[in-house]
Amino acid sequence: MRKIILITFIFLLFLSFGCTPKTEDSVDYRKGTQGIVMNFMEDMPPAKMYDNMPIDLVVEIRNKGAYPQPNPITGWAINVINPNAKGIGTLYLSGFDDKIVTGMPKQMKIPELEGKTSYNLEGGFDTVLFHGNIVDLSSRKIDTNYNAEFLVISCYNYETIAYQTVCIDPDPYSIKQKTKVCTVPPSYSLSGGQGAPVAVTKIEETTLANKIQFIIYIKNVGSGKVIDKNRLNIDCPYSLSSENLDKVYVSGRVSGYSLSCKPRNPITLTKGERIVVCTIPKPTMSRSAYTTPLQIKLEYGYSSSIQRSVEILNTP
Amino acid sequence: MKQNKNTGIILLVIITLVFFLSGCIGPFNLQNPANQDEFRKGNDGILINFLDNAPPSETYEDYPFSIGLMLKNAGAYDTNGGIISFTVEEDYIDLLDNNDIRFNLKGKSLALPIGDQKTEVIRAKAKKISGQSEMHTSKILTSICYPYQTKKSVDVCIDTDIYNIKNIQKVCNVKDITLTTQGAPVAITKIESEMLSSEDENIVKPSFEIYVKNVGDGIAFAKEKVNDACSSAPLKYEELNAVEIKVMMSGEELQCREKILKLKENKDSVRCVFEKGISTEKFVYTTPLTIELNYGYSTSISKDILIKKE
Repeated sequence: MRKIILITFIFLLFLSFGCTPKTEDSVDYRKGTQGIVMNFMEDMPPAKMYDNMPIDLVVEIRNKGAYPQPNPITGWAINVINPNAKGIGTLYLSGFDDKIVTGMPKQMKIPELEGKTSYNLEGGFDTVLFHGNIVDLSSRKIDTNYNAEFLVISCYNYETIAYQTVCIDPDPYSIKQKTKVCTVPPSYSLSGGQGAPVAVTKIEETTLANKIQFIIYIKNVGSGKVIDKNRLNIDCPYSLSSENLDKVYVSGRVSGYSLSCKPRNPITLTKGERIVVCTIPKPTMSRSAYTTPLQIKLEYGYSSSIQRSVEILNTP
Repeated sequence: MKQNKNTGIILLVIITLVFFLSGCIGPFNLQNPANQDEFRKGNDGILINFLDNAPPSETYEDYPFSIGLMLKNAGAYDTNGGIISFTVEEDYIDLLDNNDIRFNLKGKSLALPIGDQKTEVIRAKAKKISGQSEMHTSKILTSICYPYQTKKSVDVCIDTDIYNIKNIQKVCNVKDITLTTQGAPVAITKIESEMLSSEDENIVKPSFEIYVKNVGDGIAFAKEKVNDACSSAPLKYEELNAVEIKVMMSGEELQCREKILKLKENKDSVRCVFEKGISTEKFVYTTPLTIELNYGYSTSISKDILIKKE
């Protein structure tokens, strides 16, 4: 009987190993197509309110992407040009008559929000409060209700980091019979996004005479607008044009080399997509094929919006 | 043991009821209270009708009779200082009471959802029919003249980005607004909105073409002429069909091309502009536009009375 209990105990112990949490390495937090996501807190403001009272508008902000990270990767070809910029970005409020809803701030900083990490798969969360007052409608000779529209536009800096293990084969067309650890596939597909609203969707690798070429497919997979990060604080959201829209800064590293890309930064997305051709010097022919991580970094500004209507009721 | 079971069942029923009742008291749910706009429907102002048998359809010569009127404010505005005037064939009917009756009637409102009403009765007497006639049909005409108002507030869109160069999400679009009636005999039927550019490129001027129509079955006239309209005093051409307009946007008055509309063929329109302008730095927003029309209004009714010889 004791033996049976002992065996059962050992068996359960073995099984329980399978229940241990996954190691942090196995958690892919760089997934998804969202960045900063906003929504109005329920009943803040409510759909209907009386005049002559304070109004609070609370925006819930979630960082559903993977930027920023507590320990950012350094050594990239492109660095943030405005290192003095505080906060990830700004929220802009508009859409209502400020003589009726008074005292509401027109812009508020987006709080520092941590991106998704292996320890925090939900990403950062915070709220921003816009407080104002609704005047007495009758005092402005308005004796009916007023439908106020509240439009909140976010403008923020964001980054995409895409990783792909690639096969570097300096001599892919060799006629010599060699055992290779890898072969270069026609393309690498990166589906599901990289925890950011702009994603690398595909990479095509080609070995040329003296360099390795990577064709990188970039796409705006979010529902907002991509903006030149260097114009973010100047033009977003009210002076957007072809001069500052759809601009992305691309950089990357592979096998100890920085990618040399064309077109030059910033690249312009067309209908939300763009192909970038990047190269690195080819390793010596004597070297056999090997796998190595290709890291691509996209830097951009991003803007999205939410809107809510509030019917302001004239106090009878 | 059985008592314990019963107590348990009663407790369960109470808890269930509490749950159900709590569902009835939801979160803060503000119902739309009625506001004055709810009453601004229809094309009537003050309605008048003769009372039954006053005046009678038939009477005898040298007999007194009553002329009774029912007045009802079927519109959504108060009227103060209205006048009732009676017109009879002086050869056949004598008015025994004062022929100049004033009235005040409150319009439909939250406090008075059906509007104020009142009756007025005056005494009259059929005169003797002279000559060979055995009977005579005479007409009794009653007119009312009263100051009245039409008011409407609508939310309009102020678009400071006229040429769409800001590439920005807009909370609203500038569009025309068609209206029906506003609980008054003169109605605002349409508002055409337009954002005008200015010499100062930093401002836009919201402009509204406002269409007004006499939708009642009476005559509109200048609001100051209520006394004259129901008397023998003549009204000038410019005082007839004259409606004063005042337009406010967010509490500030707009400049209208004319302050007095002249309802030719019962309708007219006027352009009102917010000359001060709105800064292009402001973003697209909605704001209430309040239009107020002030005028005098007159309607009449008549009844034939057969005067017989005794």
